[in-house]
Amino acid sequence: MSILRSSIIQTPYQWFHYYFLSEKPANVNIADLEFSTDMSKSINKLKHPWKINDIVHYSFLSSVILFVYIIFPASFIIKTFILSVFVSCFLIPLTGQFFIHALPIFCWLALFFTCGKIPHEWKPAISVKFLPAMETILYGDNLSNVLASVTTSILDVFAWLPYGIVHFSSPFIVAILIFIFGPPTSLRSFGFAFGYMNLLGVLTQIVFPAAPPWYKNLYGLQPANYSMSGSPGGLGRIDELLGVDMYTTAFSNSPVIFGAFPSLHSGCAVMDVLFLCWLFPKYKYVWWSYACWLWWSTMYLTHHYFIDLIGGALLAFVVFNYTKYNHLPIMSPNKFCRWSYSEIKLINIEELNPLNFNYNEFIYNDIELHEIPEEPVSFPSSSNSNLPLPNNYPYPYDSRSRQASKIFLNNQILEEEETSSFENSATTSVFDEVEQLTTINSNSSDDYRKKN
Amino acid sequence: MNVKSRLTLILPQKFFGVLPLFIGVEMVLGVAILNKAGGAFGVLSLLTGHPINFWQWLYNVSCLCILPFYISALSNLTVKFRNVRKISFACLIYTFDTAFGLLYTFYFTYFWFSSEDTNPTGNERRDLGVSGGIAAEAVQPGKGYTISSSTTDLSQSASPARELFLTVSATLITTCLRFYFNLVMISFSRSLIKQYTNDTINVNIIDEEAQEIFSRNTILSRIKKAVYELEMRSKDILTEYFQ
Repeated sequence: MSILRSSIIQTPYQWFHYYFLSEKPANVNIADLEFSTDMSKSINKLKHPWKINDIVHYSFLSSVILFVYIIFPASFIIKTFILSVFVSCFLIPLTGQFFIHALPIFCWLALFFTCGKIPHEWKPAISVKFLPAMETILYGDNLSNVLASVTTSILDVFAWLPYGIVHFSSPFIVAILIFIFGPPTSLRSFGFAFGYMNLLGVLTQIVFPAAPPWYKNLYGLQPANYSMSGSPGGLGRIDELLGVDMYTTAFSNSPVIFGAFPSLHSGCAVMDVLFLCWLFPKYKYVWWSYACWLWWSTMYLTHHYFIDLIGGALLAFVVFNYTKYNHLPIMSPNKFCRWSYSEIKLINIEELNPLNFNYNEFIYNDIELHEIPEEPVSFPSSSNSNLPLPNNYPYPYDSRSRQASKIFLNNQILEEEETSSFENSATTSVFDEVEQLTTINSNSSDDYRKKN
Repeated sequence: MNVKSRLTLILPQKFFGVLPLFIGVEMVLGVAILNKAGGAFGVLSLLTGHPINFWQWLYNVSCLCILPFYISALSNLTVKFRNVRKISFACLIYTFDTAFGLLYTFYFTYFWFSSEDTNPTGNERRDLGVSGGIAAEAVQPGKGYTISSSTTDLSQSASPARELFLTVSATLITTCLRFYFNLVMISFSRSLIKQYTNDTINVNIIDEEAQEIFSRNTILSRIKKAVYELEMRSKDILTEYFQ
């Protein structure tokens, strides 16, 4: 207990409480985590009526797990033990709240690391010419060759950072950011989208095996076979530069040597970027710069053709859009973090559809709202101008500050929190600077309101 | 039956028969943006010294020029009023781009089969441009990348006929999809313009963004002004055509 009271634990907890937990409205528990370890709770949930989507979802993932279970080269006892540990993690509410929604990710990882064990005679024929041919026909040239014509140590390191380092850490960072700053249940959507994108990508790689650019550089357009070793491509130079075998052995023994299409490096990066754009739209150019950087590095290191990158990006885009319209909660621009939310809303496609807009209604409602009797009617240049601002709306759109979320709390709670020295929500927050910038950017909206 | 009537008959009312058209346009513009990003990487051949001919240059530069308009249209897809002119402009560009892209597909198909696919067993190093650095840097002699007897097993590799079939069918499918995407863009633009025209028939609307652009005289605002005028002109052309 003394450890729990020590400053090492207390200080971060108090900091976390101050910045995040104090945002929580009274009597709202949608952001709370489950700490129960009673398996019967989860079993009771299974007894509820299942939707068709759920049946398809779990049947598909179960078939992947069954396939992995069959081909994984280990004894029956070991495989069953591993599977039972996983099932336990799903059934215990404490762990299940994360494991169930990460199931597509687990299926992808299991399939990826096992697909090297699929008997060669089961696998389809390897395509060597198709990707360079399509790259030339659709994009005019082999862009990987264009970018890898000149190699230097500086460029090697610059390419290695996104491909070999950031790529592996970014999904975890994005997941943490989504958990903290996204509305409750948004992390589930990320797990769903990220997992399915990778799972569908690996399935495509297995069904349609194709040789990457390094193969063409090594062997030309000669026929390939599954007994060939993989290659680290340009990452071999990083191993030489650092004097360690980080990539050469790993890529030589990769489970999917002929899995060029689609590029899951590109897919993961674009998925991260799409979620970051949803979470922090103000920095969308920064996020997309990362995707472009990774694309360049992937081609420079001769790991993928451009068509592979587009394939991965498209897969991510399609899965993200499906998730956005079906699972992903709406981000409220004036909510600070997960604990600021008092309700979860999903996108209403009918409301969002521009073909359902009534321009006339907007104009006359707008006139009424702002009491402008005469024409002509002007409309603001704010990117959010499709939504009229409420008369009493105190904060600009895109504002993401702790104060903004407090307007939904009743006065009594506010007073209590403001009198507390440690939980003073009026204190400058880390996002205040962002809010000030947003205020400047949204001047046109404010001008519009003032004029009217 | 004239062209306009025939076009109206084939215009899709739903994306792939299921999804609302605006989601289709979102997908179409997203795919177009990702594809056009290739132009930026192609243009980098200027720095790397990789040899490309005039037509490849033209293709890459045109991709780069079109890219901002697609991004702008996608960003403003659900923004009331502004989406009408942005989507109109993107629709016209997409139509020209589809025709332009078809010609390029013919040319690049000829280019691949005449220049690139002529030496299936040749070493790629001869094609690596000025420095020839890729293979030399990627291949680590003595680390297992040399052609071994294992490559003599041809049964696991796709046959030339299969490769050809895949290439030709993928090219045809891509081209057909592009035409379908163009129809989706036209259908959405048509519906949007009709709705906008009907709703705002007796209202004189002033665009604040336009006022802001026209009130300044910087280089950026001149470019914005030119783009704005092109957007408005596109809207007028399509409005006239669809009525």
